[in-house]
Amino acid sequence: MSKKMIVLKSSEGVSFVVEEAVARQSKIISFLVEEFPDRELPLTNMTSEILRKTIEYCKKHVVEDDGGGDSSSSSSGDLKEWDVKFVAEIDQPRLMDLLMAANYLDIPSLLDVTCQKVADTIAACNDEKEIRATFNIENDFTEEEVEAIRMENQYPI
Amino acid sequence: MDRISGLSDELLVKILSFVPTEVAVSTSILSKRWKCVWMWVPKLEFVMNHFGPDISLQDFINKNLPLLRAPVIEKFRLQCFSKSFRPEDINHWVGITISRCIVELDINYFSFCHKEELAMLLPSSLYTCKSLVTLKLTGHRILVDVPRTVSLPSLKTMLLHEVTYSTEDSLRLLLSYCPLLEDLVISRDGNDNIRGIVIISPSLQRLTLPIDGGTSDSNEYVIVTPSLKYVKVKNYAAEGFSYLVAHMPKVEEADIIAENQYHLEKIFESITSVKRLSLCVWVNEEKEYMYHDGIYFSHLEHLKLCISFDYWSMLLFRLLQDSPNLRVLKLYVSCDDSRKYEAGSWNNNQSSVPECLLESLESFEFAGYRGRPEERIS
Repeated sequence: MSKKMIVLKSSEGVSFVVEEAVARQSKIISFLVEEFPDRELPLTNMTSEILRKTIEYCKKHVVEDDGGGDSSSSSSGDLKEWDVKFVAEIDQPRLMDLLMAANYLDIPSLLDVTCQKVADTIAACNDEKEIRATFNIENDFTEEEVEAIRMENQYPI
Repeated sequence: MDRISGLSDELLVKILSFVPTEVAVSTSILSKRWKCVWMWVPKLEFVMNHFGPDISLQDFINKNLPLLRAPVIEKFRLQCFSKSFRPEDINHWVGITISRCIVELDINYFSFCHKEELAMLLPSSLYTCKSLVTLKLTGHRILVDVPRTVSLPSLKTMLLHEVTYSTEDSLRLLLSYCPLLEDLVISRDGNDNIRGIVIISPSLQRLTLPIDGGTSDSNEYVIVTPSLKYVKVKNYAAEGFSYLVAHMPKVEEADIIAENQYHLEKIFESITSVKRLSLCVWVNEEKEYMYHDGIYFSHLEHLKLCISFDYWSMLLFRLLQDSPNLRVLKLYVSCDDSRKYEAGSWNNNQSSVPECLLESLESFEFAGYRGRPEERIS
């Protein structure tokens, strides 16, 4: 029996043909395929590159329900390892894009993985200056304001 | 605006909930966008590594805990030494988290000495907290003082590690209305004020419990847990206390350490449905009796047995006889080298080879054997 396929279209107009079960990990797509079967779904705020990455993640995480209990190709430990590698290979701007894509498409596990990676990056910084530099955050406080907050939120180490 | 600061409040809070609390707080000076984000993080963890009083952290928590904006505090974890904070401060903080619908509370209040220091009481509202799902309390200065009426309708996981109970009846009361409790871990301190352990829980699925005499002479154990799937029992007690364990028809996995045959037999009677059994028996007495006839483990598939006492081979033989569907057998030698072990020898008088050896056994593993002195190459 052939699997049902659906078409997702990126902002550049590139079409991706995906198994429905893979795409349904997105709660939004799951809803849209119910409402508009047999239509290609335009994802105008996602580039082809990010859509491709998102589909790669969903393909890995799809739970195959057509077989017995052990049909899932990877164990949860392997999956976790794969996730870590998956986000480690992405540079920061694309990680942000992927995080927003996960949020927009409502894919909870991908959102967790990407948020965790951003959190790890923040936690690995030595001080706030390094966090600012890493994420290009502009310091819009005056020195006095910084001192005031420092006094107020003094976290004793 | 940069990419990360452009994320929604909700996403920034989610990101900060994955970093340690001190890192989340430190983001408040990144920029105006970040100033208050950390206050929405629903998770607070404070782990202290030094002994002395910590006035600055105390001030920080006193000031900021009431200001937190998260509508629900998902987790409050405090690990400290008893000299770090006054008991009334911790009581106050826990009270605040309860008023903010705490989901997971984890207090580790460590103390070296048994006397002099004040006991720490938790607010009585803790025992009627509707939102609490996980409760972990560690340290003998924590006095579990349970009011007459307990209602923990959401509680699923409870760990009571060497706490002190205010009365004999405190633990039974605490467990009296936890209709969803699934996982219970208890370990005891010698002076915890209770003689008997009464665990009656229709919902409980996992139980870890020491059965020992504590410091008092007479102990009683009553365990009625019909839904239990996993049980871990460490039995270090001598004979001479009352012991009632109701049959646990759903037990699939058991991990048992026992010091006398009487208790081993009692436990065996309640877990005959077990599929995986790990067993370590320490018996010094010169008794060859293991357990009475009529105990069968017809579902047992995995058996792990520690070679730890003189008559281990008799116990193994009995278990092989009584486990017709055994698939995996693991024997391991305990690392305690000072003990002498009798070499196992099969009695030729045994009339038949156990059924499982002929029919079902697939795998045998033998580990930890380091050889007899005469076998070792010097």
